[in-house]
Amino acid sequence: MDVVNPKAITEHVDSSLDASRGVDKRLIQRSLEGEQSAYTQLVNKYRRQVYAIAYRFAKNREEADDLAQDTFIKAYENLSGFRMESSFKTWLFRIATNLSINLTKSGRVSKDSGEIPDKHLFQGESNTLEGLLQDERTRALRTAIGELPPRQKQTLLLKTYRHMSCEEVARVMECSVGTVKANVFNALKRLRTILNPGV
Amino acid sequence: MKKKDFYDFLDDPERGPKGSGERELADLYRKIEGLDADDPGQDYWRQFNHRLQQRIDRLPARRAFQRWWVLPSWLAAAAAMALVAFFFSPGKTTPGLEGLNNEALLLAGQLYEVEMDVEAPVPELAEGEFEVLLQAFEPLFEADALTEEDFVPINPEKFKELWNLEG
Repeated sequence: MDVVNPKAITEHVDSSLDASRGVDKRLIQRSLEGEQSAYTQLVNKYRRQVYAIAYRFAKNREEADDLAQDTFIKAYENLSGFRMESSFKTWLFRIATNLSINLTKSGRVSKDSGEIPDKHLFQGESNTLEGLLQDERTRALRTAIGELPPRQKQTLLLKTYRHMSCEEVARVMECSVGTVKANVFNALKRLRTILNPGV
Repeated sequence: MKKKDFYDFLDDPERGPKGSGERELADLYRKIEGLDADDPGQDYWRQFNHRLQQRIDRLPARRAFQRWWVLPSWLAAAAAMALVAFFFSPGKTTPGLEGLNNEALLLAGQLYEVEMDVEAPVPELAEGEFEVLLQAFEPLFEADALTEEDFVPINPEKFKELWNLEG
């Protein structure tokens, strides 16, 4: 039986990340030199993740779409100012997060109404009792998340996005890893209180 | 529950929760994880890219962005021509050059590694002088008299410094 070597796994992940960053840097460079297809490749690489983050904040397809588009436009406009030593993905996520925050502040998003987010057409509607209960629980959870203080909410939504480590969230939020953990911890405790007021 | 236990869970959400309090928060955490948007599908992404491309094409700064490396070359040409005018036509400076101060000329000299007979401790362009330099050689830009090969700066570091002054 093969013995799993954690160090080897870590090194493998690190080298994969380095390779990905190297690819991003080359694409950015080519894009800055005027090669439009290079930027399209960057968009194709990160569009799902940017959209998913935008969707977490916006809670509906239209706003998530706008946010994702605006994120890539803003990144395009500021690409020449991007410092190559940092991660393009983190930079992109920071733009998406900041735009999401601004959108919420502007009032364009229905202020955390707790609506069930739009379902994409292929999913169909919930028509079973279990489905309806699930929708109700999701609605309650979203409403509760909407009641969190902004920093706790933003940190929680980023951290619970499955591709984000505490370190990545800290870079996006421009705070320490300890602050990320404390914000998530406090946010969850507060959510528990909101969802179970009698406990 | 202890904060530290939960912090360990955040470092590795795959690990099993320890106590009941921790398990409760971990369950809540996983429910929020499950709020992810589903993939809208290939048709959506094709449309997404198409709309994005249209918006990028409409950006006013697009030309400047795409040709960001050409513009500094023009500026380098302008600096070079300023030096030529400075050295070979002492009595007839190019219109606009009188607006430049000694520091600006010294910087241009450093850019092209030419000794200038100007004393200045730190070469620095004052606000507006960069525009004067550009205006002085505007006819050159319009005439399109020079090719890109003429614009390679001799001293890239000083060239970068000059370019950064514009902000």
